[in-house]
Amino acid sequence: MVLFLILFTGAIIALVFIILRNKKAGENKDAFLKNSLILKTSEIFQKELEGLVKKEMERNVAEIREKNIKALEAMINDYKAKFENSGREIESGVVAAYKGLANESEKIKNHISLFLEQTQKEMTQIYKTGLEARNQLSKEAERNISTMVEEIKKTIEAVSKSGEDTRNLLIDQAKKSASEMGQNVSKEISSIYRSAEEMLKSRIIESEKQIEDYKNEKLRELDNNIYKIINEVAKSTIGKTIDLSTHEELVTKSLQQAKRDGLFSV
Amino acid sequence: MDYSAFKNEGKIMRECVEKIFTKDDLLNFVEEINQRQQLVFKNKNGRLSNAKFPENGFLNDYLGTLGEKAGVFLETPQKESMFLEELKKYLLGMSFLKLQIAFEPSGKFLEKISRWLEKELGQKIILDISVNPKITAGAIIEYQGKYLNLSLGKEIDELTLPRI
Repeated sequence: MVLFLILFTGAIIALVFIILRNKKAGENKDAFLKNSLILKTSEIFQKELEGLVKKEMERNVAEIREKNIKALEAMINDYKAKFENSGREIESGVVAAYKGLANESEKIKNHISLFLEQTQKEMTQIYKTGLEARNQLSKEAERNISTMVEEIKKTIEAVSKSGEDTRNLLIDQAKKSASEMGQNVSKEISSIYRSAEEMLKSRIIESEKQIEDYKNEKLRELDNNIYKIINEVAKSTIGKTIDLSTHEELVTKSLQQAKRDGLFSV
Repeated sequence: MDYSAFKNEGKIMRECVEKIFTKDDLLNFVEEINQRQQLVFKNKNGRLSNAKFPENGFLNDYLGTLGEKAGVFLETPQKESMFLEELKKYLLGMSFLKLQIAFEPSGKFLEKISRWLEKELGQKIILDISVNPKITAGAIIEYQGKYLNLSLGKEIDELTLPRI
């Protein structure tokens, strides 16, 4: 990249140089033409002249090119020398800077070491203090716990005793209640029994009455059936036993009776 | 009824029902009259006196001589038809007596009680007989809306059924 920049810069300088030179040559030419005598020339002469000019031009160009190349080389060498010097300066600067940085780094390192050392000391102190505090707390906690355990034990014993008392009391009350309940139940059962007995008696009486009614009804039905049968048998038997002349006589008598009863009177 | 169109009309009518005692007899008689009317009208020169009638039936017993007695059948067919119409009206207008008895009566017995009734009531009464053995004996009588149970069955009921 640096080489490219160098070449590029060299090319630009060479180009500027060429332009300036050509300009100067042009000015000389115009002055020559202005101050010289213009003559008519033959075609051959003109061609020879042109060839001569061309050669001269080519020689000049080659000369200029060579000069330019040399100048460029000189410039390049100059720049190269400058760059080399600069590189050395930079290197020395960098080395100096590195050394400075190394010194600074050493200082920082020393600071950090010191800081770490102090910190470690402080941490050790804190740890030590914490450990002491913990031990102290632990001892306190142990004392408290043992106190609490004692209290709990006492409470449990108290509760246990109280529970036993309560249980005994409840048992006594339950016994008492059971006894009272038993008496009440007995009374109740007795009452229910009496009530049931009365109900049963009334039911029995009622049932007996119903049975009696039913029996009477059935007997009445039976009687009725018997009477009906007697009635029908009597009618049938008597009707059959009566002879025709008696039937006719009875009909005649019926008509006579009807007349007496006024059935035919208007 | 107006029988003035005929000679001795009332007497002829009474003679016509002389042997009619029961309701069945009467209805049969009316039916016989209807049939004979149809026979007469089917004949072009139909005359009741010339018609050939069945041997059985009430009309054969009466009408053969009634025409001569009344002289009606010797006159016009119209008079014959009018007479038969009047006869039907007379029959259907007669009084009925419903009599329920326990046995099947003989014709002789029916004639006997019919005549007894005619004598007692002063008019011909047609008997509407029904047989019901359940009444045992005696009769149940209905006449002009009046009812009287004079059966032996009723007395038996009174003896046995009052306890029911």
